[in-house]
Amino acid sequence: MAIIQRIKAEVIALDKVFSGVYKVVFRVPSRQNRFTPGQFAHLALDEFDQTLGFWPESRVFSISSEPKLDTLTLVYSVKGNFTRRMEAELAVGRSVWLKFPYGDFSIEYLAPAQSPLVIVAGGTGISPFIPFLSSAVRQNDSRKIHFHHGLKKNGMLIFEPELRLSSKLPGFQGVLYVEDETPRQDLDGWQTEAGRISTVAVRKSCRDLGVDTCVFLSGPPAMIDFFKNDLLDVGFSSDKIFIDSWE
Amino acid sequence: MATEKQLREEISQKVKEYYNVKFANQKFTPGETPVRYAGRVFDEKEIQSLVDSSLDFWLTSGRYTDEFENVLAEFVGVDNAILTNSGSSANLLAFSSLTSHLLGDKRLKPGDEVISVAAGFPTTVNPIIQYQMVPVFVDIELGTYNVLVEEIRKAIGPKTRAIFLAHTLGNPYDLEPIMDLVKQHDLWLIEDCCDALGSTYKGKMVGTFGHVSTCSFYPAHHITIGEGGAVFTNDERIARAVTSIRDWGRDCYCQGGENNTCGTRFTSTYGELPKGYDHKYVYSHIGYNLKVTDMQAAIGVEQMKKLPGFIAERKKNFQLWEEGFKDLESVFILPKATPGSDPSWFAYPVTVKMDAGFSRTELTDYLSRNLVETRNLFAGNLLKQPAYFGIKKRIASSLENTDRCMNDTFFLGTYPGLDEAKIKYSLQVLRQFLLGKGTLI
Repeated sequence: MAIIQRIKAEVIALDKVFSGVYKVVFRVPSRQNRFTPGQFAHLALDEFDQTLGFWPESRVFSISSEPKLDTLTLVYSVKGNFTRRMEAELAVGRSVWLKFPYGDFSIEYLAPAQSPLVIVAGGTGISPFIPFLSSAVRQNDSRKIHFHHGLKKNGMLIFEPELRLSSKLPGFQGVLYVEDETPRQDLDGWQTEAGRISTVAVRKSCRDLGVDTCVFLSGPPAMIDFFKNDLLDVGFSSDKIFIDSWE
Repeated sequence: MATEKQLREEISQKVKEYYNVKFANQKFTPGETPVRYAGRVFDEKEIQSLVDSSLDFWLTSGRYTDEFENVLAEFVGVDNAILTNSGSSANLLAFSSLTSHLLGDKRLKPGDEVISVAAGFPTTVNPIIQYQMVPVFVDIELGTYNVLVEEIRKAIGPKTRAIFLAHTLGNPYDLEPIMDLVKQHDLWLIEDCCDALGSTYKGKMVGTFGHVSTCSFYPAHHITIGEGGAVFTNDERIARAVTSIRDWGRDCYCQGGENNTCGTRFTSTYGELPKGYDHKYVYSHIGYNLKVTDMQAAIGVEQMKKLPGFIAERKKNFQLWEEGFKDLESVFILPKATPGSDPSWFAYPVTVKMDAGFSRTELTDYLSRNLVETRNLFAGNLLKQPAYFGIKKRIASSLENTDRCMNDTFFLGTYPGLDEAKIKYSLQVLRQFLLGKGTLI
């Protein structure tokens, strides 16, 4: 595992994306901001006394910015006591303790280089893919990527600039699904569909991209199980399905 | 009542006083004070740091380990520096990580061949044997004491999968052509930098060329934490394998005192274990426990601050030896840096010429009796060591120079604890010996 960094980080930007969902940007030393896209960080609100050594209570969040920058971005949904505390206490200037990188959900290591990808991301489950997409844009990656992203409402789109840029990748096809309202039509380079992410569409992507396709699923556990089982039912290989699921 | 902070400061001040009484102001008296070939070089700060860590009483890795690993990685120029309890353990971890399932089909397997040398330290070669692979031995060049690239080229065969070499006594081997061979034949390269921390090749630190590299912090080395070593790599899979194998082979990556770092401690399925089996006790590698304590790392944090100065002293001492030996080329083969390299010398190696009129042992024995420490080039020829009789191996070329090393090579120290006075005295003793042999007039 890469060296685990324990960093006291200051909030430098905080956006309420929509009700109960926040995007937080922290200042971090770029030299210590090393992780593989797809990995996650622990966030602790209480002070970490390094001389005692015991890490305080924390929760995990996918890192949704690129490595080696002097900022680190996390997105979180308010779901329980800890995230309610985050909502109440986080503000620009407030410091937290971050501990990272952790996790194995890395396209770079799980999928063979240049293998086609089908990515299915539900809601804030898009977070772990953002560093990968940003890096792919920077490198003008030509691999084939079919990206299926589902939201309940248009206003819940979190990473609009990154998704717009991704659509310019030579092998990229993106579909945005909006469940509860008429989908917006202004996300350049993306198709839009009303309703939930379509299993038919995901299966079609897998067929179109061929036998070397790897599938990455991130989102609510129920959504992941649904898509995973559907693909297995149609004969897709389980060792080419990778999931990032949080209870 | 004093606060914790106040007490720590008082204790630290007392440590400094203790250092001044016990360790400072040590004089060198020629002929009475031994001239060591190596040893720990420190001041009160290392002891203060060690005591500060002990006051945490955090007995496993903690804040000082984090700091030491970060500083080390930054110094060498790698993404990952992973501490372990010795350079030999680092070699074991580096090598075993290349057998990990995380590397897929490219992983090393029993029966694969690994090119190395017999003129070196045993724990560069041991992991190859321990993992049931076949060491392929090639000869070295006298003067550089490193492998000749052409010998490697000739040694590569259909089963060759890796090269595992130490930068002998701090002198980098010729990395550019070796990297060409690595790429051409899709080999793994492990750089053993245990004697070479701070050496550069064409402006770049050794330890940054291979897939994985190692260093040692035993007291003889460039910095010390007592017993310690580190593995360096930019490959996240190798880093993951190293830490797993170091930490009992476990799949869990919680650090001491942590729980559920992965977030799925009781919810996943591994192997054929029941679903939800505690991830803390899931083992994905056959591993060991090769960890260090935070107290050792605390020493390392202070030693790293001194490292640039230590490297400069080593180079200066090497030059002093060079100056002292320059008129003795008729008797000795003198060391030379690999072209393009700037060694952070571990030692000053010398080979007695065949027609010198005396043996290496006669000379080193004389030096020793006059309190000048020397060492042979480690195992000499490993294949002559009792432990290596009967191992499966391939000898790819004549090991003539390796045998010469075994018979005729020794080294003098360059560590920062030496200075001009000690080196001058040592050279006087050497010259006395040569006079006695009629080699000098």
